[in-house]
Amino acid sequence: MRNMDKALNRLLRSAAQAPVEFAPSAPFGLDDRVLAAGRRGRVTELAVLIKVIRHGLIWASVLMILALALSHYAPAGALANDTDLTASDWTIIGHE
Amino acid sequence: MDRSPNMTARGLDDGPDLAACVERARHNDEEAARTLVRETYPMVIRIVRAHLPRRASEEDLAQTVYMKVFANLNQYSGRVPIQNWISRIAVNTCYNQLQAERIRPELRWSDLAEEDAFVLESLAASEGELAPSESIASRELVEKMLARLSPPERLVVTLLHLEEKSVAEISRITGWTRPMVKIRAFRARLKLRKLLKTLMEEHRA
Repeated sequence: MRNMDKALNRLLRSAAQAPVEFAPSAPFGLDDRVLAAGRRGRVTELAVLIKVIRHGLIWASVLMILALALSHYAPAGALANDTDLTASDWTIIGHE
Repeated sequence: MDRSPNMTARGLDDGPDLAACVERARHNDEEAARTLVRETYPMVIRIVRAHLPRRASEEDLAQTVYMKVFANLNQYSGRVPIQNWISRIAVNTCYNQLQAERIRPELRWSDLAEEDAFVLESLAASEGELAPSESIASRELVEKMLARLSPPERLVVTLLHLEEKSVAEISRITGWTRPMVKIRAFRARLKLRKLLKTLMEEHRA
């Protein structure tokens, strides 16, 4: 096993000495493709953001309309009468 | 990743100021981004070639590396040279690609090329170092043996023995703890030893 370990070390040392291939310059168009992908990514992020904002605005508008509608109709009913009663009114009602 | 002495935080001594390029690229300066790609491409392609998973196109992988670099450029803190940061992304991209691949079945003597077999014969014949002329064939043989290991084992052997990096450097590049690096290297060497033994026994038979 020790011999095998030595043999493996010799093999790995020899492999490590293999000449490094010539590192070429960037292939034509690589930077363009990378930048185009980056732009597409930014456009997608912006589109998602706009979509979220639009949905948020729609829901906020719906809630606002509902709140206005409730505040307009509800006081005309029982709530308005309740708030009109004074303490003395309640006393009279209690005595009756 | 690249340990050449002229590689500084400023980039190559005669090259453009990469730190300034990063800053400008963050503000969507496309010319700065192009410069960054041009200046770091030789380093990235060397890493990709060293770890290249089978059948994966090196150019596609390099493109994936740069897309990750620019997508995360805002996370670059500037504490380490940009080359180190990019090389870490490159190694991890290759590693992820390796994980997606299946490990090859057993390696047999009949799978070896003539040059690989010659290297094994030289190993068996003497206890001395292999001749420098055998280094390319040795590398090819080691590549074939590495293809039988799991991705983490393959990565650790490539970094430790072929690129001759220290355990600390590998820990920094991969994000693994130092004991983890040592354990993976130990297991990988064990498998390589067994594989080498099998090949040599087949050769003798």
